[in-house]
Amino acid sequence: MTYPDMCTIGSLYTGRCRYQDESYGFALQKSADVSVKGGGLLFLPKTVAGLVADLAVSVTTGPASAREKQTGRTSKVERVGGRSMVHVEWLDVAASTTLGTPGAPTVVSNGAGAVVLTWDPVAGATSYQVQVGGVNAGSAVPATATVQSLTGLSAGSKQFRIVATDGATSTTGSATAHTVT
Amino acid sequence: MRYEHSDTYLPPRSNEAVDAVVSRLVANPAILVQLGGANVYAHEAPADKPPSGKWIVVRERQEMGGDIETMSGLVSPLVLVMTECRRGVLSGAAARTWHATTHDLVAADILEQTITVTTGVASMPRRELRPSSAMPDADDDTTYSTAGYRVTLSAEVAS
Repeated sequence: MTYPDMCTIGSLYTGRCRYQDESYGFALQKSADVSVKGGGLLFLPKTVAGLVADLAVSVTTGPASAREKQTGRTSKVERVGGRSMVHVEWLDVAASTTLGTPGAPTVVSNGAGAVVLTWDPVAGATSYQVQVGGVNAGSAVPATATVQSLTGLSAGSKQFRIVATDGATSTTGSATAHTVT
Repeated sequence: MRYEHSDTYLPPRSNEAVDAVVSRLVANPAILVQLGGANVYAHEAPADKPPSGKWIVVRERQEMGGDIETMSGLVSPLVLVMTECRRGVLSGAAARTWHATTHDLVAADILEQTITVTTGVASMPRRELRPSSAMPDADDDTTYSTAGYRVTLSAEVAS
């Protein structure tokens, strides 16, 4: 079992969790399908929704960033009830996000022959590549940024587009026309 | 004398000052690079924060109660520019430097510059609150720093 090193905010991770239900006065091992949106709340399935009102949730293992976030948010669940404690353990966490398609970038002039492009984050992307006129320009941009600065462009109207990749597949977005000065 | 309500003037348009400042900042390439994207938001940041973990929120300062009624109809909102950075991205001295640099870029972009509002005219912003120290925000796991710019908007007379 390998866990993702870090939950990407906005990406959805699903898996199976094991938890200990103590709401009946004794420990009862249960499991349930759950999903967590990186940096968001832990959602228990409807089948245990009736229990949530009496339970507090803490994630004890799993992706470090998810564990951290869940710990931080535990009080929100506790506030509902809190008489009993459920220990949730991530058993099978896998990224289920499919790679989205980039939108057209915004291009801002940055002096003679230079532009800065920005674009909206794409779900599931691990890196981006800017293309000018269908040709890669500049180095690949990690998913932690949605900006690229290009210099040394010749003057004239050009088509700028973003290619997103998740390491296995890539998607190409629509183009933005911009006149380089 | 006492001020009386006059429906001659349209409601305050302080939000226009916010939108105008945002428009300037997102067109500034140096700020885009500094933020790692076009992460300048009016009024509040989105629930899903930008992947770079660095962003700016521009909003107007809200006072308790209503705005003071004036005969002139001028409104002078204090536009707050809040720089925010995840502690997992930058912390300590690096975070403080980032906040200071970002505020410098913002100031260079809007101080004494003409901002264009939708209705009426606006005075050139002047800084009334210098950038605060980078403070931790436990809820968002970020540090933030705020500066304030005063903008006066002309009265817009209803036709």
